[in-house]
Amino acid sequence: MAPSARRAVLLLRGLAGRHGGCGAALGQRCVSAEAAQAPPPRPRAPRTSLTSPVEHTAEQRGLWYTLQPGVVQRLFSQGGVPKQFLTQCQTFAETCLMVRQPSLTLMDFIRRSDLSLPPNKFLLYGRNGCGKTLSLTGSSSTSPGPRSGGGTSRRWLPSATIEGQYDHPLDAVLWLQHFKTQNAELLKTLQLVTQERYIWSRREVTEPDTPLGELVELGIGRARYSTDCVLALTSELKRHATEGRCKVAVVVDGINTFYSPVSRYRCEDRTLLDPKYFTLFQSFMQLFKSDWKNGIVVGSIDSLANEGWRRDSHLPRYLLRQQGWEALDPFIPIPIEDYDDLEMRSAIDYYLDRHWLQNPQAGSDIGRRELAALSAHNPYLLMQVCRPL
Amino acid sequence: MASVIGQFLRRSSTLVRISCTVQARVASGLPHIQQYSSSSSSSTEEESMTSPEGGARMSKSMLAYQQRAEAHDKFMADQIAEYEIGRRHLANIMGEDPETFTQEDIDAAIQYLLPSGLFELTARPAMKHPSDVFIKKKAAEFDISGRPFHTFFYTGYPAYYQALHDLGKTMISLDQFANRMAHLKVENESQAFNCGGSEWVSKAELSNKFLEELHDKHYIFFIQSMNRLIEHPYSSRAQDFIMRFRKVVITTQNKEEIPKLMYTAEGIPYMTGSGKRKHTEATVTVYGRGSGKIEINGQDMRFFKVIQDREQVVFPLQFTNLLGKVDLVANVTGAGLSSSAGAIRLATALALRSFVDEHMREKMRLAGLLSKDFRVKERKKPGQKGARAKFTWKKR
Repeated sequence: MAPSARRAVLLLRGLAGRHGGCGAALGQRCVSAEAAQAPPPRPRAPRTSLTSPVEHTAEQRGLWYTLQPGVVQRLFSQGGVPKQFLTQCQTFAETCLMVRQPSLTLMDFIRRSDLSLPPNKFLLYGRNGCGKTLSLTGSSSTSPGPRSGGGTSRRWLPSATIEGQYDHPLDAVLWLQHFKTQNAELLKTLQLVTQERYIWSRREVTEPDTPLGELVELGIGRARYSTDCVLALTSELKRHATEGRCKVAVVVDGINTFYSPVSRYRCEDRTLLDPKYFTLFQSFMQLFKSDWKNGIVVGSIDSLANEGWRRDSHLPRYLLRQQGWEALDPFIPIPIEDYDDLEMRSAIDYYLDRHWLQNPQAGSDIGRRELAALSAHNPYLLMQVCRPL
Repeated sequence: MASVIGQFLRRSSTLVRISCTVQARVASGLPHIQQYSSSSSSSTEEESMTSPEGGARMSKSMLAYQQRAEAHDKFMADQIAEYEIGRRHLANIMGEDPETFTQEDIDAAIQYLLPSGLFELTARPAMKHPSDVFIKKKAAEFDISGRPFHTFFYTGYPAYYQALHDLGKTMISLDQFANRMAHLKVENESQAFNCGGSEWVSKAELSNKFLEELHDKHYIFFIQSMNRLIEHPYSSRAQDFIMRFRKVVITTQNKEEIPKLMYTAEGIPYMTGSGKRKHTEATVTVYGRGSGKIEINGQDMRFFKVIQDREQVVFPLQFTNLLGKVDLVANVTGAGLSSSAGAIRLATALALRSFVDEHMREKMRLAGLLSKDFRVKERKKPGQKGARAKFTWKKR
């Protein structure tokens, strides 16, 4: 078989890969007879005007909603959102998400949660690229509480205050900054104050009844104590929530990071550090315990948050390991699947609406089927496939 | 041939004296008599010998020719006898009936007993009839007296010009027939010769047929003349004559049977196909009335990380417009993702033949979907760094 005959003459890839933007003229020649029809009219993205996920119902499933500007600003400033998504939002000049069943389920559960009981833990799980992180982004855009990211830490230090533990000053500072962006007004409105005395050094002391905002500022200003600030902050919030002064939602992306037995860091004697000695981790892990009220925990279990050798399955028990399973149990698992037909259609319509798919046959029946097959119905793979088109 | 001459010599009682100068043609090996002078008186250039039979006297060259012809006859007879014996032995070896053992059977038996992997097919072991193996020679073209048998002998290409002569006569007879038909006002539908399914013999084949070495101009003129004959409205009446110089073209596409669809217990139509690429083998089952599910070794399309491999798998389905309408279950063994994709593509295309019509099958064939990609890694040669790469060349 000659190499020329072997090259796949597909509707979409065969053109754009070589000739970039001139696909339209060439497209008519390359396609097979059945598919060489007039390009279908450009569809409009199926949208909904309800911008808050709280208001979404099953009727809005598959529709695209735009995030509010304040939320958008928060998204862009904090981490935890995939960079590719942010770039795409800039290209499309809008920030839109699709209403999908898992988010609807999650919202429903949150609404029905009895906050007088210990916090419900909702963990999203699914295969790579199914939309765990973006589902979290969508749901957390409405939640007033603090949001923590399970990101990668870069620098670590032995703890300033607690012996045998380790700090992450830079990460703690970043987190506190994000916390501040999200929750500063709320803290002022609710007038939450510290209830304990924190001694940072001989001259730096935080007295009780100091507004929590000041504690945050201290942590941002003094990187040395930022990790312990985070620990103090989370403890205080837990206490306030239990006493009914505020509601706290903890949103974690990649919750299984906390429970891995090894980290990337080596001590002087070249052994790998155990993350259970990280103060930052401890400050969040205490929020997963069932000893407080008026809160919920929403997290995602991501196989990419595990080490490379522990990614064979996407199921919670495997990824969380014994330690994580026991710590988080009981939790409510919410599976996230690939796109079904309705969602796939909606996603392609959105790309067409945004003029992202330039190929004239992309919106045709055969084109859609091809996109679905090549991407295996996976949202992330669909994005990858559509990139060069 | 020589036997005829011998018989002629024996029967004739007259002594034939030939005095002539003979200039033997070395190339043909046959005596070519250029000058004939019949004089009963002895001449100084007389070269005559008595024949072995002691009968008629003929020239040395004629005698030599006769001997050569006889030797050739004997040689061929011996070869044919050996061949026949060998054929019967071979039939016995293969357990077949020696009486009905044809040349095809011989070829198959030789291929079985002496398998060869040589790329040059003519270098492989073969057992053919001696008349196919040894070059044919022309029979005697002139008699003992030197008079040629064929009228056109002195043209140098008697068989060729005879054929042209026959062609001319055929044309005249066809014209006469046409005139008669026109005179009788018989309206016939066109009875022109049907050229489909056959083509003209090549120049080499025509030369072999005539046993004369033709030039290009001979061949071109012959074909042009034959084409004019074919254009005659009643040329089908001369079919036998025309088919002497045409060979039937064997269609390259073998009409292979497309297997019929099978059905599962639930009544779902399915078909399996298998394909290979390099050292990878794939077996694919295509289920009709499906929803576009693709399963490869238990995983979905994410088995292939590279988009090119996924495109290869999808291509046959997209080409036949069955994407999303059939389900695919593939099992692939062997290393190599790209070759796995190619093997699955071939297997899928072969399975899809049962789902589509003739027109689409032809289109698939033209698209190259049904051909096995036979490219494999080329071996490394000694004295070179790789298959083609040479070692660094040093000028000195």
